[in-house]
Amino acid sequence: MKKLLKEFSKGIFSNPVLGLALGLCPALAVSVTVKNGLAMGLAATFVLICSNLIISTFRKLIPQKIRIPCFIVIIATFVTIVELFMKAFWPALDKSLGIFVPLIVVNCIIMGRAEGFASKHNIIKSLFDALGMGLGFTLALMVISAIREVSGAGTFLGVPVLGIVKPALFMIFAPGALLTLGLLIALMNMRDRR
Amino acid sequence: MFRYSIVLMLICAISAAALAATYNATKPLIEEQREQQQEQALAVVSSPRADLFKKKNFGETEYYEAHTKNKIIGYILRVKTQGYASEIDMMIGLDRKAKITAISVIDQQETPGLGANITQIKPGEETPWFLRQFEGRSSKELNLKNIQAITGATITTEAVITAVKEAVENFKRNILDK
Repeated sequence: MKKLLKEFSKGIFSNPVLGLALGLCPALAVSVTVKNGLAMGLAATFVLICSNLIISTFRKLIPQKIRIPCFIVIIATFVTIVELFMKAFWPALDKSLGIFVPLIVVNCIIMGRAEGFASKHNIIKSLFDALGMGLGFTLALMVISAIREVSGAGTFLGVPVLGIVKPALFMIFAPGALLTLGLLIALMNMRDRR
Repeated sequence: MFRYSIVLMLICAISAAALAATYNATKPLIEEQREQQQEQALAVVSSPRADLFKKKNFGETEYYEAHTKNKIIGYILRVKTQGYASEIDMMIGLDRKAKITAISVIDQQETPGLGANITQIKPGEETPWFLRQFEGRSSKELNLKNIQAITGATITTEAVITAVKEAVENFKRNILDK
């Protein structure tokens, strides 16, 4: 049990985005609003759990030499399923995430966990790894998007929070994303130094 | 070597089957969502009295006639235009003299905080302030004097104004004046 908890918590503390610097593209591009950040995090977590489980289950059947194409097919299948479900049940969300849902296929967190963890460990461990990494990714996206939405658009989850203070528009553009990410990574490093 | 292709083929076959099943299950739902959105947009831009929408077209342009008890009370134009970052998909409600009654944006992916403010609803209000400026105006009155641009989003603002103006004028020339 203790080992499983370790697999889970490493996803949050050695965070995929802020620690390992994986999955930066969606973390920068989607983190404009908290709603988008949360949805992106959950969608990626779902794909991560499914792909980790399947890959771990069949890890002994998948030959070493063709593992990458096998992983890609499995991951792409789950991403397409998520995309179709989103279109059917949450069309507004699908529109605001746009191209970034299909792009979960090339999110390096998912490929990285499939290659680096699920293909070498048993199902239960892989499940906890996926849950931890998914939650870590979601948390990182939510922190970045909360900072950017509040300071850049003056809202939190669409509700105005700044009152009469004017938001700093550049925070919702690319520079704001890079600045926020950089500062957060610096904070994480400061904590690790101690 | 032979084993590799068998394994990969099996994985692909199972994936394809799973996708086909999901696609078939979600297809009717996705279409329903699309139709609902369309109908909501039609109801928003035309009069609430309208009880029937007839789809028509001239050339490649689609438009709808809004009817009440078999009488035409207005028209709805569907307009798509290139904004700053995306295609802006709009519906324009017109009365019988081609004055704008309302505009609704169905789809846009403009920059959040700037261009996306074409659909911004200010606290305490019910409709987007930018689109409300078009209401009651004829196509001649559509310019930057009468319509306040969105700060920092000149391209989006101009794209919307130009597209609406052109669409209404085109409609007048081709349908109303004939």
